[in-house]
Amino acid sequence: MKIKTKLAAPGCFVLILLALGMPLPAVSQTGIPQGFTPLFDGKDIKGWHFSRTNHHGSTGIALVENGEVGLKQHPYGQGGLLITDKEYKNFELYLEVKETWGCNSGIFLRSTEGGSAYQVELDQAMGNANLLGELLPLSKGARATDIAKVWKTDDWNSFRVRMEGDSPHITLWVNDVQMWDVQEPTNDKIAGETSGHIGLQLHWGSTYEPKEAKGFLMSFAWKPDAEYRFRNVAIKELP
Amino acid sequence: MRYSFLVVSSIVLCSIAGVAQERVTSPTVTNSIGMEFVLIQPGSMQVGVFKPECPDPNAPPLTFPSASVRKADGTATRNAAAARPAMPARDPRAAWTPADYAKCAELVKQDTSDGFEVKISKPYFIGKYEVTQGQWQKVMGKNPSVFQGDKVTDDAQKHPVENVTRSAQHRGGFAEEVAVQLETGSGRSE
Repeated sequence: MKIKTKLAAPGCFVLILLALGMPLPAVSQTGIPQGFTPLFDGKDIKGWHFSRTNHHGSTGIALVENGEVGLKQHPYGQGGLLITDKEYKNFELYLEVKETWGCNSGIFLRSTEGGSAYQVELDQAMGNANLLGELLPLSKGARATDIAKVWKTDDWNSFRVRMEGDSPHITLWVNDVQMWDVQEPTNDKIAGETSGHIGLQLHWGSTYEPKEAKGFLMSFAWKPDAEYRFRNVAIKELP
Repeated sequence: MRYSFLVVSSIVLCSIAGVAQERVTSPTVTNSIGMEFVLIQPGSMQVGVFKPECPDPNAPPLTFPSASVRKADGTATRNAAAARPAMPARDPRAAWTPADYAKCAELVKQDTSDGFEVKISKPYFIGKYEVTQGQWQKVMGKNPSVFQGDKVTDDAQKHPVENVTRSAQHRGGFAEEVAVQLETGSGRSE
């Protein structure tokens, strides 16, 4: 009976809206906002690839199940950067992520193949949703100081980020609430590049030189056998 | 797929597998566009050695290094204390449990590898230097590099080529063109 209630409720809601002549919400049943193009087909990672030159590794695993993409280290400690084949300049990106405690990830924007990018940090233990530069000195960062008000711990959370302009104007919403809005004073990308890949970071935890890993204490950046899951990853390109 | 900073000799891999043995006499060759190659003799090597370690349970909690921040004068600094507030302490829920350490030990045991031996049975040439933009343009007819024009202060043709695609490097691309030259001896000036 509980299942019936869950399925019936949205349908009733839609019927009531139609009867009243009210517009439907601008969110489809899959969670992807209208006007956005999915970046995963739900079956495999066609249109994406693991960077072969990123320092987090090149042998990480992307598991596609039930329309979700899970990122796992493989072998132990070896992560990577899953990036789109295509480059984007001005866009709105939407995705939902289920973060795991003790793991550090990130959404890379205008990334190079090697992973120099604007980054929205993903780590619900520290600095979640902050704007950083990954292998990129940033003129102006941002902190999501109000994220605790909207964050759903151990659950799915939606990120929508808009990026426009050569010196980018970047805005982030988490669970439909604006976290920050930044106008960078300059384009910090190397050689003035104004486009790049979308990337999902799978942090490394060990290297082929264990002493170095211990030196930076990055072993704790990803719990053994842990997984980050993403779904409804979609983009809307802007002029 | 673009490799923005790919400048390495992998794109001048120019194997001479199939080259008549009698032709492999000189330790170095220079082709018609000025690329220098050195001869690598057959041999063997151990690859894939991987011996990861679990973190020390007594190590201090994770603190990420501060992100690089660009200052108003355009220079970058990692001393972010003046550029942004200190990062808050990490939530204790991120700390490793005894089960995490046990899982780590299991994975380390599973994934540790002594690697394997690879034997190269035939000699081959490999590029001595990075491929320049000028050399790439002569072979491929165009220069995809970001660092040219007003992005550099001297002759970009002598800068390493970058921003090349994987397909342009390998089959039907730059490497194959150059390899054919070496195999046939065309454009070769030893």
